[in-house]
Amino acid sequence: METSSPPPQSEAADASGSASTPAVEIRGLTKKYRLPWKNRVLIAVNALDLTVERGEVFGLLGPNGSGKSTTMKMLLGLVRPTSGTARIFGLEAESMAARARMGLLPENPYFYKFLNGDETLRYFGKLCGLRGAALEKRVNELIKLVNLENGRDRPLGAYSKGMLQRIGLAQAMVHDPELLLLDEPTAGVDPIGSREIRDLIVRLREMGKTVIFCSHLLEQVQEVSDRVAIMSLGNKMVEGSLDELLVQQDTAQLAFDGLPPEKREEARAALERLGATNVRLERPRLSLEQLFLKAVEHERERPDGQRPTNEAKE
Amino acid sequence: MNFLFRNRVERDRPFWQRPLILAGLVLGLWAPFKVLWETHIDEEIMEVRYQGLEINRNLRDQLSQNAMIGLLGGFRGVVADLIWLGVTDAWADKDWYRAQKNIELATTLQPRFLPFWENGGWHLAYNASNDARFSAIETDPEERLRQERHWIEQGARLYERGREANPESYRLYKALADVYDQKLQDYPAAAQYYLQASQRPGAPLYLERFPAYMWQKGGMDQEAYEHWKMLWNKYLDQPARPQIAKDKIEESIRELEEKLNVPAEKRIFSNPAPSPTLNP
Amino acid sequence: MSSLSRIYLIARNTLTEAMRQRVLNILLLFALVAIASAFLFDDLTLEADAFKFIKDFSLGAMSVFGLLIALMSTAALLPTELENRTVYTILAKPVHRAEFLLGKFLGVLVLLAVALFLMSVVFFVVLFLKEQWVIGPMEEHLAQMASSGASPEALAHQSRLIEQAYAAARDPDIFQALLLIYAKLAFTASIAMVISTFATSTIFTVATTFMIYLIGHLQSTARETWQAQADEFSLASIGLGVLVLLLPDMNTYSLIDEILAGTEVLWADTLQILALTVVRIAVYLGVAVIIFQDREL
Repeated sequence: METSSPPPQSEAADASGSASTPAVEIRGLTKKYRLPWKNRVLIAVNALDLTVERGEVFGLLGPNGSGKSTTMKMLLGLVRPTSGTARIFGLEAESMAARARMGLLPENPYFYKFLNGDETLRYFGKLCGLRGAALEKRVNELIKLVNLENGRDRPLGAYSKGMLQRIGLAQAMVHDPELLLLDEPTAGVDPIGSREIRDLIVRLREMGKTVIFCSHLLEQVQEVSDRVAIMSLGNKMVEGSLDELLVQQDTAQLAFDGLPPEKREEARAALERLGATNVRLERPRLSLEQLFLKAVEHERERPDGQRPTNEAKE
Repeated sequence: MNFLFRNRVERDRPFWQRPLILAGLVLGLWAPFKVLWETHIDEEIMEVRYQGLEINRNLRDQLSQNAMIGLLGGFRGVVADLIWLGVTDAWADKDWYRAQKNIELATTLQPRFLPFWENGGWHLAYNASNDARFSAIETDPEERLRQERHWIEQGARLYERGREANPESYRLYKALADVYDQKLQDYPAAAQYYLQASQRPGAPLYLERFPAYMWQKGGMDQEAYEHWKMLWNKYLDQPARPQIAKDKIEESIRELEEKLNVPAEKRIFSNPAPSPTLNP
Repeated sequence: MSSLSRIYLIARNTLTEAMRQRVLNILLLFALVAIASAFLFDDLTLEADAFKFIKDFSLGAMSVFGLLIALMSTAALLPTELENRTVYTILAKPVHRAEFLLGKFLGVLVLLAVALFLMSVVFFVVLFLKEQWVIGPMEEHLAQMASSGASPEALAHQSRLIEQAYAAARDPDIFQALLLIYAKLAFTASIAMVISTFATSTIFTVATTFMIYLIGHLQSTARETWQAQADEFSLASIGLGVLVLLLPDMNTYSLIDEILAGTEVLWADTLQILALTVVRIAVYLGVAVIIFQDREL
């Protein structure tokens, strides 16, 4: 399943360490849970192999319960893998050094409601060792970056969903990490807010950051991701760059203007006469949605009425 | 989050690295030290509670009292106070049996709080007995006296127990002596308790003279005389004692020397007039 | 960036969060109890009683409200963080789990200290007012007796009564009692901390801690029974042994009761109990860290 990846978009990402070490390197990562009252285990993540190069924007897709969040938590050491390893810039995922180089925006983040925007960023900044003028400077930068001037002295309890996501993004970047993990960054955000967050991700890529994000909103993933992986029931189904995955190599596309609708059938007949088969008039590029549905198709109900699960005998 | 019900499958690692084993190990290593230290502190608290006094109770009683004290954990004072309010209440209602029950409970909970004993005994030996004596309900005069006596004895018994629990304090000895003097007219016993009271730390000086008064009151003049003489000698050693006390002692000695016909050579005060030379 | 400053930051944050919630209302409730206890028992016969009642009720209320604060705030520490997902944001930063846990606990310790301090201030004010109220007239009476030429013994008696009332009102041992109450609350909080590292709900933590708290008060009885039948090898004695070895003895703090009952207490005893408390809390926090270190979040 290994695929070649595009070169990093920016050289700035390789500030430290060997430039060739990938940002994230996951090998055989597995997480199993024992089910209560049953002699069975749930395989939340099954022998996952994944490499994310520096400077990439990587989309991790999958339906609920496919293991995306568990994978992210394992990268942060919040969940311990049953077996396998995860390395961040060559460092063990559970180490403090690794965490110093990554930032997380959790799914549906709630922060301390009694703190305002500035206080929240200051608190997390101090936790990461920032002090004094450097801290104030960083807070100002981040507020500007996520466009939250109106939330600086408002308590987070009074924030809108979109503002919460943006302050979440700001706190994830407070220690200027090279790798950002965004769990459902646009969940519950209105279309305008959603677009703002998408623009932010694009800016992060321009800044040379590596971004991994989970999302249900395929259109967004399609717009910003360099590469994607689709997970289902703990297994990685598909991985690759969008071009590799979506462009159908043996399909050509004809584009023209001015063909009246009633002449369509005539044009089709003409193409078939020239030897073309299976002439279609839809877009040739597979939509990500189609790819997604195909990838998780095996999850659908089988004829015997049973749904497949990722449970297994111990 | 579903830590208890959705157990992960453990990673391969030595069993002693598992958290439950490690936590158990820490608690297990701590356990013997814990028990020794706690036992030691418990003994010291018992020492404070009973002032090293071996209270004459069997193990079962002691266990159940300690268990009750333990159960109240931290609120013993509050519970005792509330029970005590019941005493004041019963007093107002003249329900002496209820009062006695509450007094017993309050003093059991806080045997080191003297006012519970003092006021409790006072309620029984003075208020309840007086009430029985002049009872409007009981018509038989003998029964009245019998009842009066009953309550006085109950009060004396309570003081007695309080004295056992607080052997270092003069106050309950004095209370007991007062009952024997004023209520039971048992002057020799009263004298003994005043004597005991006067020997406790912090006892007021005038208590020294009380045993002699009691003996005199009970007709035991010889004992009284010996006591006065003892006090007089003591006062000669301690010139700082108040003049009024010395005067009273001198007066009593003169009176008794006359009464007992003590031979002149053995008298302290041979001349009839008060002797100014002996006053420092 | 040292561990200590991260612990300090987390502790301060925990404290701020707790202070902005309803904790201070409990203090108001306390003030009511303390003031009420001063006026409730006015018809009592002895002045010494009046002070005893204020002390008993005020310190009892401190124990109850302190226990409420200790249980509720400690038990809610981790569940609130998990529910609000704030724990993810913090632990995704370069922060050790042990630092997070210790910081949270330290926050509760400071919260308890602040609450107890404020309650003590109210308590001392009430006690002082009652003192003025009770002893003032007694002293006036003494002055009157002196000017009307009462006997020296009567004067001595009245002075003695005043002395006794002062002794009851201004018992310096009360500071030992306050320290011991704090120690008891802090230790109870550390029990709740351990439970909450593996509990699935706040209510479970509160209920279990409270049960340990109650059973802990019967420890010394259990221990005596166990030691009395140490040579026996019955199921009951083994069960009792496990109970004695594993659960803490909360009666260690019953010195508070002795102080309230007016017994003189040595600082050496109090300091020893405080030392035991420090070691106890250290052991329990160690266990909490071991479990939390491995917990799935």
